[in-house]
Amino acid sequence: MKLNTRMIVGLVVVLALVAGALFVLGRGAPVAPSPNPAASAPAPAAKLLLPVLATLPEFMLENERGQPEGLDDLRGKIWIADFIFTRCAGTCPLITSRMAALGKELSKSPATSAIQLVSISVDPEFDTAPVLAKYASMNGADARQWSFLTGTRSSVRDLVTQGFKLPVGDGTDPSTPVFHSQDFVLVDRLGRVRGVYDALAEEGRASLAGDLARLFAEPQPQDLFVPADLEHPAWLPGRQAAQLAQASAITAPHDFKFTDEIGTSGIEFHHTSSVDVGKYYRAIHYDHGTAIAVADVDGDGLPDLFFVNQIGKSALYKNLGHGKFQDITESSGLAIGDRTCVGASFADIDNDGDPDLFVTCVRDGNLLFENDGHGHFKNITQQAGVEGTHGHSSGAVFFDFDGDGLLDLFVTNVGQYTTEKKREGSPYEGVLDAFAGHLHPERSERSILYKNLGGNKFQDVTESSGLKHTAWSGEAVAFDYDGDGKTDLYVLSMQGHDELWRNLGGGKFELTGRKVFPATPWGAMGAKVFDWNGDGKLDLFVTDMHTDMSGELQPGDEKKKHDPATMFPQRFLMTDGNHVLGNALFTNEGGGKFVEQSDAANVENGWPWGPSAADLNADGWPDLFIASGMNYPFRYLGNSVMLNEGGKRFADAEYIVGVEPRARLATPWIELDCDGADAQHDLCRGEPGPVMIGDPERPHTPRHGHVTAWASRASRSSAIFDVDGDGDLDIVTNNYNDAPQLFISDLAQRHVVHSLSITLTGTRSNRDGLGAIVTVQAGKHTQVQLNDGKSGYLAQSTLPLYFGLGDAASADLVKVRWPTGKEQIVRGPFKPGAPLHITEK
Amino acid sequence: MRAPALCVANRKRERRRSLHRSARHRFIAAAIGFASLCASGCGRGGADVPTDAVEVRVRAQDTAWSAYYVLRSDAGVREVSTGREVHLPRGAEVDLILESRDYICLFAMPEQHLRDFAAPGVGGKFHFRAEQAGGYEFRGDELCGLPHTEKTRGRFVIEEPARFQDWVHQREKASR
Repeated sequence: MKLNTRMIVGLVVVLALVAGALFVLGRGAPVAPSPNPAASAPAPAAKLLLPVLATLPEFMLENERGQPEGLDDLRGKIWIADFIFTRCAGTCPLITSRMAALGKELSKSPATSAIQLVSISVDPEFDTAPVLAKYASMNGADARQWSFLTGTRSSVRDLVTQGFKLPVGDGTDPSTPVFHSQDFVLVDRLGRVRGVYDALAEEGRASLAGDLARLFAEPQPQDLFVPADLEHPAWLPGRQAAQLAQASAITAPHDFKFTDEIGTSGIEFHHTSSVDVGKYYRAIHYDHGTAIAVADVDGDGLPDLFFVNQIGKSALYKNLGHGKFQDITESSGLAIGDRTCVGASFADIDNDGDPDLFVTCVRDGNLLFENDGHGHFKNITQQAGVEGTHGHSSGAVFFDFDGDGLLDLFVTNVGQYTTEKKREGSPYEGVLDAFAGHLHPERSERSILYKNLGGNKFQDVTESSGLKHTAWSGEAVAFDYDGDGKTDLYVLSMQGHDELWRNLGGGKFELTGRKVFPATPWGAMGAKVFDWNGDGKLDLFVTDMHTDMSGELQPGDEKKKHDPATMFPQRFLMTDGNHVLGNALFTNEGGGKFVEQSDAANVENGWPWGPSAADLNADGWPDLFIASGMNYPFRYLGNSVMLNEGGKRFADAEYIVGVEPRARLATPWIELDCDGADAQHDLCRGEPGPVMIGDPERPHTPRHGHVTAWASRASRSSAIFDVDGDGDLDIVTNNYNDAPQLFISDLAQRHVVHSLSITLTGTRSNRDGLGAIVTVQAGKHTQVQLNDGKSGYLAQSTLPLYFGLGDAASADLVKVRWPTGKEQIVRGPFKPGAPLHITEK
Repeated sequence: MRAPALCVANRKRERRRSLHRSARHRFIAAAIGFASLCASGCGRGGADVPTDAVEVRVRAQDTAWSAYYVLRSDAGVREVSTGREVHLPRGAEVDLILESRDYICLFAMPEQHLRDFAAPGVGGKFHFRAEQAGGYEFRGDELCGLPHTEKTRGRFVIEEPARFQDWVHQREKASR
């Protein structure tokens, strides 16, 4: 396209005005975030030269490169949006050509070259990422400047109509299937709409040029990256290269990739943190995040997703198949938004064949919802008697401790880490020394064991059972550690020793002390029971977060156990000091004996939350995904993927399989009005606050204007299952103060995947068959899985058991040891792919 | 080199908590390392600023350590702020008390392999003899992995008693 005279004039004007504005303000290059905002000169009082027409909501779409791209990714940039679709024969080609011309002009000046162009497809079902990539190429788009976004029909339309306040809808004839705006939209660095211009009218484009200059003349928001190298940490390229270089040495199948398809999934959930972890940073247990739990709530055969939020509504997403989801929170009755929640556990409490839901919360009581079988939930908390003590509840575990066929419930309570104070829009403020809580017996909270009485009623049997657990615990796993037929309970402690409670039968438990596990991680966070080495015995993997907090975790130290010299002082541990200084992998040697083999198995990592274990490459050996990392003010770290090399060790593979690195490592964390309400905030005062920013020897310089502090992205919880029904396993995460990730595997597209999906239905045992041990024999390889529903950190899910069969064409035999102790053998051959339902006989 | 004189109360408390043997050894070894800062001999200073025994409170508040001399006399007890530079008279028996008014704060002297903490209501206490003149860095170590600021860093200066007394008087004057 050729530029017409008026447009050229307009762009010349904008460049001149921008240059003039820069000269007047003496700002250098305002488009690029200031590397040292502390040293910047005081800005003039915030005076907006353009009106704010709208503030865009959080959104997450997918760009033409197949990467998630949302508001958080565009924050810090001025951008110009348009709305097109590739099969549009009407105005779209013209709009796109105008956008292309605009891009060329903007790229001529350093002052404007960083302005981002964003074309949003209003025909997302047709305009997939590859289609948009082709369209981008045809139009000569430079991916560094111009992105093309797609999503789901509802996510795009919601964004256009409710965010941009522009029209979009179905067309009236086949030649124009979609009608849409032909406007350019100017969006500022804070995601606010500042102008709307007719892209096809010369006046509109001229007006855009003028407004761009005015926007540049406004005081510019400052971006403060904490730590300063957050976006491009020096260690990451080397780490990535080193792992990729080692790929050929990995014996486990690793030629498959995950792609984060959250942007086209229809999942618009965005986790929101307490301000205690955000704006007024302090170290507190709120930062442990919240759960993602999975179950087929409506009986359509597809697992649905429940995301727990910290502030604001949790969300239930119905699985529509093929990786698409629909928000059904409101209609399901699970619109929990009046309290701060943490964990979520699906289980069939009344043996009626559908998953019910228990949600743990902080201070305001826990919640139990009964499912009507169609995905409609009724709050039965009061009637069931499981509200709890209004403490600081965390993970909850359903298991049948007394063998009566009804699922009982163990709820962990962390300890009192909040005060009575509340800030507006946020939960109870944390105590300043929350992580010293274990030093104060008066702050401990007893975890609760409930017996299921039937009829949707539970009884607190904590006292009578003897299971009086008062450690600072946020998670537990239930399994029969000694093979005596009774389900025991391993309760993690995040500030002390984990404890194993042995089920004595008759509704009684006893503390085993340090007999079985003399050394445990001091800061245990998540756990998974699985047979990692294929010997038929159930092993126990425990992640250790808090030990990594005793000292600064330097790049390169993630795979090492913590240095004893820099471990917390003995007085702080308040234990015998005999700890595994990092993740622990307790290999079951039989007879109730375990040996710790984490280093030999290579399962150490940095800042781990909870593990999910599943056969990601379907080779018959369970792999690990560990949701890991911290946010403000810590450095980026990322999640871990560990592929099981035939039960001998695990190989690190997060970069190899595409889980890391994220397309953008940082997310906006704190918004501050340093000339207004937040003038006394540490970051506005130029104080280092809780973090070191810049050179400590330099005097602190107050910051002015709008400051956005950016922080590392990090996950907390995860679940692994076949999201899109293609036969391989995918991963979904719940990320702290961020959008989730939906990692879709292409294993099934690259290889013929042999796997067996097994669903259990108990009759004498609990209907979910929780506690059953399933053995699958395929050729010479035998696998064992515990059906405990433990899908990841803080959560319990109702999911089929997935057995990868490797090269085996079929499975020969399936053996189920039900919670009743009875063994049931089902003989094959079982062809891969077909779901196998086994009902207890 | 002398073995450290860990205060009796502290020893009893440690016993009650049944420290793991090796960990306890590390704890004691750390204190020995600190004591090895010292050589022998000490002088006696003026009446109001004794130099044979010094009590120092190192207080954590708002993510910063700051230190105070505790001076006891017939007139009562007074605190003299010494910021994050703590001068000590050579040869003195020193009680170092850690306390915090808000957050948990770790106190470390990495070169001496010394590491302890304070939290509100949970202080720490060391006893040692300041023997070898020189400067010794201390810092707030990383709790929860946070890179701490310069406000948690400081140093001990072991010097001749007369100079120590001058220092205390200067600090007292400055704080008036």
